[in-house]
Amino acid sequence: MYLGGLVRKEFGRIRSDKRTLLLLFVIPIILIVVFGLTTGVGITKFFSSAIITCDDMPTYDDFPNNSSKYDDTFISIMQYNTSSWDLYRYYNATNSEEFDNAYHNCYNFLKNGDIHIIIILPANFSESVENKISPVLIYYIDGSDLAAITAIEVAIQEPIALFRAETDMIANFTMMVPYLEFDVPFWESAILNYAIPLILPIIILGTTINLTSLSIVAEGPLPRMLVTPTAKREIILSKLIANSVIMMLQSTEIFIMISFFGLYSLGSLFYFFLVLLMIGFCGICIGLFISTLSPTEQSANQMYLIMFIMIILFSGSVLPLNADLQGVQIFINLLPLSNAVPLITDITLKGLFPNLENLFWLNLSSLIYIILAYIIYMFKKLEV
Amino acid sequence: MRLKKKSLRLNFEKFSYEITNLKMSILRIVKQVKKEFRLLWADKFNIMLAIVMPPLIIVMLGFTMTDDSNQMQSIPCIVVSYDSNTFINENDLVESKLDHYVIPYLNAVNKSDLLDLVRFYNATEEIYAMEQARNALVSGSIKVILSIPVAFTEMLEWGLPGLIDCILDASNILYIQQSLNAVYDSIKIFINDTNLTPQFEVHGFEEFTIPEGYSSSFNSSIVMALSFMVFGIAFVLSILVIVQEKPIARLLLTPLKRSEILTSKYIAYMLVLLLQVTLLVITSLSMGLYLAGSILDLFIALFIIGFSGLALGVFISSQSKTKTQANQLFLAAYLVIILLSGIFIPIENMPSFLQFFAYILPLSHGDPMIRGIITKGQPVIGMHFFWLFIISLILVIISFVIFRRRKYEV
Repeated sequence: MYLGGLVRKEFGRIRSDKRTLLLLFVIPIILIVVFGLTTGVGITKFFSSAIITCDDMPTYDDFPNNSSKYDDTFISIMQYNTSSWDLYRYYNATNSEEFDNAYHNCYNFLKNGDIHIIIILPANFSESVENKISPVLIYYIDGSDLAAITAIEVAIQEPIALFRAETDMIANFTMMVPYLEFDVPFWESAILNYAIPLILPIIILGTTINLTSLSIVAEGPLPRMLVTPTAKREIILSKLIANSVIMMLQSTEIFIMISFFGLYSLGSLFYFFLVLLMIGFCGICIGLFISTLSPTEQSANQMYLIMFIMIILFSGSVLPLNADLQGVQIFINLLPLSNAVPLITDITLKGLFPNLENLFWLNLSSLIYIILAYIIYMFKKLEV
Repeated sequence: MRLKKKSLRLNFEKFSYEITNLKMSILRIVKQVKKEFRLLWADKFNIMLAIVMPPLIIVMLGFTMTDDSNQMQSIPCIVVSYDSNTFINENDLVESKLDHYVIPYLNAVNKSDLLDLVRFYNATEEIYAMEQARNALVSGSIKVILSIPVAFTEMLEWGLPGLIDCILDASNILYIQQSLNAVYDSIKIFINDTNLTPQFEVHGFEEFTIPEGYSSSFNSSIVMALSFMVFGIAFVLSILVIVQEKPIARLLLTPLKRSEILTSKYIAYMLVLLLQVTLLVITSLSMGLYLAGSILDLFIALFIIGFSGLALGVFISSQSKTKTQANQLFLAAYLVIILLSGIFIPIENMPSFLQFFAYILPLSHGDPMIRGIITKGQPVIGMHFFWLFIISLILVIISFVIFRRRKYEV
């Protein structure tokens, strides 16, 4: 009965701040609508290239007959026929001076990020093709883009395969044919659905942590309440209950909105909704933890931001982390995003039952944050 | 002559009056800056978070990032071979059971550092091989199924392309390319070991590579972390600077002008930002950041990113009536800025109207600017710098205008 009164008071406090409430429900709608409209296909990496052909230069030794028959074929394939390449510029170098100038220009394109690769067709390119000797392609890539280094080597196989087919060099040729399992079908919004496992938890955590991170630190009459028979644990419990109800409403709204805006889910929508609630609950526990720890509103805001940055950076979903290191895995598991992303991926794209280990860690982390919040609040000195 | 002298004297008096005014103004600003620092120092926990936490996060990144985590983690896979099944040539109906390229390919998979062969199934002997492999893919214990088709050896023998079907777990977009790279690595080994010619020899050279001895994953991760933190912390630090200060109304009774109040706030928080950026640069370098450009360029780049956050924070603070309103605006702005910054969805994959909006936001320029300086040695002055500068300038001007027109009950 007494707790009921406190919860009602808490609701009254939240309701008095109508703008925050409005924002809590409007931000997810705006973001889901915006990303729902982002319907492009996002998984194919698109590379931009510049080609320098030296094929017109004379060749000697093994190649008595000079030829420059095939460089145009390769350039044409790069320009028109490939699905993952775009030809930014090409240069025909007939002597070393022209080559130096062309390379200098291409180097600057690479440096400015206009292209990902410089491909050089050597002087004996056409001769090698004609004589059925392994032709050589030389390329320079932007080594600073870690993800692109190996991806380019694989992607270059596409124009090479097309070139081999064009020049009838199909003997002794081995290649892979990729089939994507658990991918988003082409008629669904690919970007939205690949982004859902990351973006939805970020929105829910961002808003729920913000909702609760000021709930204790900003409340003026809190010390006066302690003069009454109200216990600290009742105060914190009432805040947890009231904010959880708001979070449930927000999660329901997100669930409905995302279903309307092209959610592709192979798995149970009930589990999906359940996971959203668990993520939201974890956000509330983190928010309360921040609120009890912070002495002022400004420091609560500051802590909210730092916590939010750490949740994103150390989730393992945005940056690759070395989880083999002792302690790192536990640290990662205690951050909600590292469990939320695989849980949603498993349900939506694989149609699986939520992974029990991820569920365990997500709920354990909520428990740890709320226990810490309670302990800190118990020892916190408030001037009555 | 006398008139000329008089006018000169008047001009001089006017000039000296202006100088005195300026001196007084500077003096007032200096005093006000001191007061701002006292205010900041009063909340030690807050200032500790702003100054100490960012370098600490960089240190944590340095310890959790290794080259192994990004490049050398092998992809678990299962190979299912149908090559021993009977192949019937459609043209002459001749049957064949050639499969002597299977073992070399399996050896190549074993040799590849990028693949981890969990199990091999010969589908001729185990009819449910693909189902079992698929179950492993669903459970997440493997990431790739490599299926060798029935005519693999025959095709290679007859001078036709040998195709290997590669079934990837595409549920995590980050690992699709990694899996393709690993499978391609095994094909390269297979081609070399079996001496299949003619092949295309692809000789690759890397420009702007991070030298040996430096952690490439730390270097590529820090680009995002630095801009993310400098912007965010400067932003959150300044959202309450005006709205929460109660004595502003009383300050207006003194000779202190509104522009001087706001200037002093900017100066105080810029000095905090300066300290924060210095600590971040020192920590990053000591944790093994490879910097191709100059330290000064990196410093200026981080400062301008932080300043854009500061300008946005002061702007929000100047136009918010209550602390709650400032917090709401901060939350809305921050979520939109980070989600549209290109970190989660590449900006080029967004529709054109959203791309336009994303490029207006400051964080979309931080990442490419810092990446250019760190990895390619580009100078800080460029399109991204000017864009951040213009955004910040506009926000500063608007916040001054709003603050001047704001009504306070004294």
